[in-house]
Amino acid sequence: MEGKLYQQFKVAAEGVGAEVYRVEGPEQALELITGILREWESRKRDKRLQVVWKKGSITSGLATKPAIKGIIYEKELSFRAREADVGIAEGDLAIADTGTIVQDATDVEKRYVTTLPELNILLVRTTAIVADMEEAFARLRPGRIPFLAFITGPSRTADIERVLTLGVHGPEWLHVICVDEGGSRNGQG
Amino acid sequence: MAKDNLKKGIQTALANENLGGALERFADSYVASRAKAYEGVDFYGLRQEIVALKDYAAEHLEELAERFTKEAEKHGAIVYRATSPQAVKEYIARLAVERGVETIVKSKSMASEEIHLNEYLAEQGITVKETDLGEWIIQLAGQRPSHMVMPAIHLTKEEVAEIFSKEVEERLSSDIPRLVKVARQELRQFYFAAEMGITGANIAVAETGTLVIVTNEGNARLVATVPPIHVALVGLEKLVSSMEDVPKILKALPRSATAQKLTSYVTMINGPVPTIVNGQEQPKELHIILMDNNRTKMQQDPLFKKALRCIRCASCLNVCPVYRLVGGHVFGHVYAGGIGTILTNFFNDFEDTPDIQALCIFCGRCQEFCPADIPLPEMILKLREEKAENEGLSTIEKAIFEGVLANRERFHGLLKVASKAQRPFAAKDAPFIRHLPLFLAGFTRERSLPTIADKPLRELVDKQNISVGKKAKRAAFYAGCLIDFAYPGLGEDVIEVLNHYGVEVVFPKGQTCCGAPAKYSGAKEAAVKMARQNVEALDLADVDYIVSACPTCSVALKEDFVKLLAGDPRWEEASRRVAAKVRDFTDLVKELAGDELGKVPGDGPKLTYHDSCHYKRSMGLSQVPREVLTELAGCQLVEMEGADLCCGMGGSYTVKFPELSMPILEKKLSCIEASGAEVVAMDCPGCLMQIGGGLDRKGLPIKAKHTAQLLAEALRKEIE
Ligand code: SF4
Ligand code: SF4
Repeated sequence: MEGKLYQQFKVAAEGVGAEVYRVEGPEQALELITGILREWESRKRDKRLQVVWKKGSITSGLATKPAIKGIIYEKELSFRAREADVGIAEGDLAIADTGTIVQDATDVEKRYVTTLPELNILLVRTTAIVADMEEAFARLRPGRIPFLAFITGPSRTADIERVLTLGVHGPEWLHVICVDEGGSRNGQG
Repeated sequence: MAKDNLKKGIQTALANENLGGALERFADSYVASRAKAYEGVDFYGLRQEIVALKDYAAEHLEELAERFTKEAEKHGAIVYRATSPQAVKEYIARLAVERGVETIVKSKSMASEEIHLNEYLAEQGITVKETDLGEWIIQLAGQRPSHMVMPAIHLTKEEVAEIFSKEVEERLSSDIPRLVKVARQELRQFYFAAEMGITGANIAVAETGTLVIVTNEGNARLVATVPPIHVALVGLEKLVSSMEDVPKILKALPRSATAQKLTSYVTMINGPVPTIVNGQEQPKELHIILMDNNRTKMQQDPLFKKALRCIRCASCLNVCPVYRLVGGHVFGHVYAGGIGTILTNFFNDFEDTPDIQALCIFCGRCQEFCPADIPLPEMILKLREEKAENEGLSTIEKAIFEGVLANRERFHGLLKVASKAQRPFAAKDAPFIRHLPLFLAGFTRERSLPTIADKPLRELVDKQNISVGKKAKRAAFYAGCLIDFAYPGLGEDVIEVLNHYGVEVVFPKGQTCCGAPAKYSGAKEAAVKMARQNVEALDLADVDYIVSACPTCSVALKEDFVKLLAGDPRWEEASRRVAAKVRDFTDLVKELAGDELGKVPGDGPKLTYHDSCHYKRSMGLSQVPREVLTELAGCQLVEMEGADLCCGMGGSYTVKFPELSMPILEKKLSCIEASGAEVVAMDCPGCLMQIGGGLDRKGLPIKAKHTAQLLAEALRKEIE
């Protein structure tokens, strides 16, 4: 079941311009992130890469940071996010049908980290993929969470001659990493 | 005065090639991409759910507003109920002054456009920055949005480069990704400089006090996140009762608006959230303004109430044959197209508002695509009627509708005279002919016209044995003006085919014009008279069916007469009896043919089918004629692109707005030509005249035919 939902999620999210990966656990996620960041560093040779990482239940137990030349911030994120190139955060649920990440973004840092940098990496538990929005609503309390965000692909516009262009106000690139197991607690957040 | 403005606006729009090209390309691709987005979704089922939840909300508007207020206040929001645009503007300006706000960032809000909020705030010395890319472009250009979803669709990338170059004082090329980057850099600073953010909302959930905001660019997220004060301006029609309603709207809105399964960012807000001020985290100040601006007035009207269902997806603009030609600015205010015609009428009462209801050709396409099933054509017609009632008909209109059309003998006498002259009216008579039935109104240079027949069908039927042997069933043929007087041969074909399938046909001579020209001009009284005459003639005939081969007439017989004569003790019952017997010719033939369907060799002409507006959308017939033409007439069907695009006929529209009618026809003709068919078939004599005349004028070797003609031809071939 999980595999099917994951496949559906991947197809839908990639259909709207996200890149989707699946890893076994937080350690593998770390490896993957390190690879992505290094790749990014090689593109940004002119300055040091700045990364803001809002840890959540999936990644808070990680003992090491990605080994890159740039700086990874885990504190003062709303201040750092303004200059950062990459923002890393976690989603609470994912919706297979539309390729969406659902995130309780009441915490202001989460909003800054997912919106301001041009590359956004979002981790979500593979077990937290649900079929559709109705199911997501049933699992959350959409009438109680002060700021609930549904993110589907990178920021986009078609306002000039209807030409699809990514990254207008929010991130231009969105990578989603589905993590099968591990972290500080199991099941969805 | 207003009329001249409208004509001038149309001219300007038509002269703008960039606009025409952009809208044309968009309209063509929209239908296909929207269909793709709806794959696997039951659109009609979904829209029923939306209708139900929106109608419930409209019915309980006040109750929901109170509940929303209570719940949102529980979350810590400050809710302000504003009746007038002025109250909204003053509230925001006062708040800004009290909090020392100098700069405001805004994400797109049609409600704020509706009340011209930016101008007002600018007058108070406050800097307002639109952050939606399209809105920002429009703001820099000092223009109005021309589309609800894509405000700057009328501008080219070169024009945008020009506008941005001025703003950033740097020569920019028209490279779109580069222009988008410029906007990103420019606007980023303002989110942090602004002390207030203003957003709209797409949904307001009463039971929880939740706001739902959707954007693709992510700007609303920033506007709602960064500045310390968030003001959400929400039209009352955004209220829904419960959280369960939200996924339904979110299923339809992105698919209909931008052909996406879901918009990139959907944000649900329940009360103030933390924000950063001078490096410190503190709670935001959240103000929600529930704006009425005549929405409750709308709610009190049984018909216009339905406009409150609107979710502002703009599909009614995208599919409108008139909008695609002229764009949004012709509509005079911020809301354009079919829905714009209605909203402007309620939300704005400026005297020089152009008389935009006149632009509608009543093709019904807007309603077909509307995810809230809003009867826009019916509403626009109502506005037209109200105008005719308030302003009265002109002398000439009175003379024609009441003096000629509503008087059958005089009308038919006049037609006889005209048939002798063969070129009945000169161009100087234009105001006169524009109000006559379809074919007399069709005087334009771009299209050949059928001449008025020497002998109308009503005289031919006397000499023709219309009852061959003993028949199982009897039908009265209601010909309508066009078949009766311009295409009597087509009428004979109808009779021949019905006879073949065992139906005796009678022609009640008391029948007259169905009244459509009067209806679409808002001349209700004349329409009532014609309804009565027709009902009288048809009710007397002792028949099983009343057959029509014209969808405009069929709709009149089936629906309009019943409405027009409702409450009239003498005619109400009779009109219902008549309506119950009315059958479309092709639909009836399909039923009568039964097993014969599919037994003919498919060696007939290569044919493409034009879906006439009223045939497809008012009567729901689109598959049936295709089946009859292929399986009974043996034609080989090749579909054209845009088979259901209007041909631009719309009765007197051809005379009132030839500058619009003709390009609509041109578009149709090019679709027909591209299909490679030898024959284009249709089930409406009005379309037959428009398309047949157009093909003839262009010298194209394609024949336009009514389904009845093709069936009769096939039968004759069979007998040979
Ligand atoms: S009926 Fe046709 S012309 Fe009139 S508003 Fe709707 S789509 Fe446009
Ligand atoms: S009237 Fe219907 S189609 Fe037009 S914007 Fe409103 S919901 Fe969309």
